[in-house]
Amino acid sequence: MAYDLEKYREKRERVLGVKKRGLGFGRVAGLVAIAILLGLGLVVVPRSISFLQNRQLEDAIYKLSGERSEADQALAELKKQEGVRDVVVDAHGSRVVVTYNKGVLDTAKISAFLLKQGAQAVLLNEVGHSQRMHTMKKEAAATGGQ
Amino acid sequence: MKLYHISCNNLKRRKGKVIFLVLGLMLGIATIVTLLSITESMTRDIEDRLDRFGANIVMVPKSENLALSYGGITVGGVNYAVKEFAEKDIAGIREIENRENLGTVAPKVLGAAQVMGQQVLLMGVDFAVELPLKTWWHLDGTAPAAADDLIVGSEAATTLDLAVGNTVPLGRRTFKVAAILESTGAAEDSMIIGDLHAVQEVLGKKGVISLVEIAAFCRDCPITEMVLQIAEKFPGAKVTALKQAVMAKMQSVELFRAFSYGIAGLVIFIGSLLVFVTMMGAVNERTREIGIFRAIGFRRGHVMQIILLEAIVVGFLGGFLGFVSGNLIAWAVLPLVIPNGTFAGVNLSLGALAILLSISLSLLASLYPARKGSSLDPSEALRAL
Amino acid sequence: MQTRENAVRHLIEIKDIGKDYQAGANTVSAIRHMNFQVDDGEFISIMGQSGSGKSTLLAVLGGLNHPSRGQVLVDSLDVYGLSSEQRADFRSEYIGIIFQSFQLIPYLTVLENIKLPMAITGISAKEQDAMAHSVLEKVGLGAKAERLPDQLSGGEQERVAIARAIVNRPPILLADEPTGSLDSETAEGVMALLRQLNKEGLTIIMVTHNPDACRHGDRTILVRDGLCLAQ
Repeated sequence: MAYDLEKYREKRERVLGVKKRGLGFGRVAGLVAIAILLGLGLVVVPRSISFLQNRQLEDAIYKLSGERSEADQALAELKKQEGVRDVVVDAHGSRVVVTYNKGVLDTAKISAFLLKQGAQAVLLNEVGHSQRMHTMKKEAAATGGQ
Repeated sequence: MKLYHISCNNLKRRKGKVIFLVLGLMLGIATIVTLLSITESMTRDIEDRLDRFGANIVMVPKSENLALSYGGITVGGVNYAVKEFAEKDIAGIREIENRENLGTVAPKVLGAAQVMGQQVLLMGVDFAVELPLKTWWHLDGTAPAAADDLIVGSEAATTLDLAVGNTVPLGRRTFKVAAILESTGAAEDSMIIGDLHAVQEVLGKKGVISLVEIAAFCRDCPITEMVLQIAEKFPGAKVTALKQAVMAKMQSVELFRAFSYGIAGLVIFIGSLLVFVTMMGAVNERTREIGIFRAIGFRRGHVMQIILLEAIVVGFLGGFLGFVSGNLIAWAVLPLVIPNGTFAGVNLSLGALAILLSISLSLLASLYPARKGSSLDPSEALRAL
Repeated sequence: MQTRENAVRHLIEIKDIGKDYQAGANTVSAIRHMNFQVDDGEFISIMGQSGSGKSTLLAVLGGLNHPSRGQVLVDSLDVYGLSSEQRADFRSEYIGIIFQSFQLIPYLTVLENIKLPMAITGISAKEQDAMAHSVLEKVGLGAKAERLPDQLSGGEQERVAIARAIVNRPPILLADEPTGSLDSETAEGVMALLRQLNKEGLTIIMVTHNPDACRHGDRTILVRDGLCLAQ
């Protein structure tokens, strides 16, 4: 039979018409899988790391009285002590939150240090750092929502 | 016929291998689900206690030694050598900035006394404020009405052989047992509880308060702030939100959770390795078959799709079965981990996550084998041609 | 250029192809030099001893094995000028292959094996069923649709392989030693079936070492040492 160019034109066009249609199944599946794993990892890993890092941290809350400048001096010194992560004077201006590593320091040592520096500070409370952060966030959300 | 028919038929044919693969994934997922379910139940257990204590605050004299457990929780020290509070000062609590959030202020006096030849912890309370605060107390008898009425803890009642209506000599006075307190599982069980002033008199602590329980009259009110305000008012006191004391327990649960994630990661990694090795082997075994697919016109993507669809099915089965068995294990193991603990229940979103995780791992572990399979040169694959 | 519409006169044109293999340090030529054409509707037998390069030639024709040189034009398509995905579609559209050892998928039933080429075509399940049953009847295996391949005799497996090769209605059927492992009576039946399909318009290229089988074809191409000896 003589060759008829038109006979299989449709087939020919289907073959030639093959274009890379977007992303293949494998690529989509791979991307989705990676996205899910990364998403889970991004949620779990930083939380675990920050938890493990903050596990040893405690907050001691002191009430300050007396000369403010002396207290400031004492707090600046305290900040330099080993085991002290942070010293923050709260919104009231009369309370100070000392974040410290409980493996290195304890409140007795901090109180003694402040006394030696001449600051008049009374220990009000001792709370786990992450726990205080958590509670504060919750309370802020509760008061903010009212 | 669609591509998934080929995948399903192949899985049916290779039952042994599929069971092996599913078991590998299932083990990983079950480990995660078990550990997470247990931590969730532990958290739930602690939160239950939190709810029970509500917004309560406990104020005790500051002390460096001698801790006392109360309400099942170590809240601080009551040392008889330390300076306790004067009853007249207690009213000062109501002067704090957030006073409108204060509900009940329940002062107590504590002390040991000789009762019918036994040392017993006596607690004096103001029944009018104490009873509404202790919603979890179940009294067998009538609520105390007179100053010489007593509530006896269940253990104390058994030890001293007391029943409702009995009289108990305390100091120079005689008291009457008005009610027996049903077991709470806490310190009250072994106590005798009487009227504040009467007990003060018996203990020789007139006008003295050992600890104060304060109920904050709010939901989500700034407990931490109120604690600080009271602490400012009473420099000699250690003020603790019961919530804070319970939350400290949360730390150990969190540690367990972090540990769980670590273990889970490891198990999952091993599970994925298993899938990878098995899939790799399966692809090598199926070289000829892949050659046939390619020869009859399947594109590379089609071959990949067949292999990855199998991975999805295996992942789904592993995830689902892992979730079910993980919950079963958690349910069975929980009573050993938390006494009297209740299973937190099936967490469906954890289930969805477990299945997604399992599918993703199975897919990722099969991606390279699928790629390798699909890139086989058809004529190489079909040497028999 | 993927098409040669103007210059092409035959359905299949083999132009100066050659295929070399690397065997250690040596280069072995499975096909040294070949040139031939096949018209639409022809039944060609390619005959040669084993190792003569005839199976390689079939694979090259089917778009399965890239030649080292030369061109294969099918329906004016330059088969090896196509992308790998296009070539897969070319096989799906144009070629039905009957392999020497049938190459059925062992875990699929006869019916499923036959439907296999349709799994990627987007043909509806109902239509697939109708098409598969119709070819199954044609090859005389209507009663054995639900059997697995290993429950069939050699001749029956061969018929399943034929059914699978033609179910998508390709214009070209490539058959590699279709009667190689069959007794003469069964072989005769298979050849009659191929003859029948050819009469219905199918272009058939059959590779064989059996001179007896060649008499069913319109034309025989003799192959030895990678060369076409006679047409």
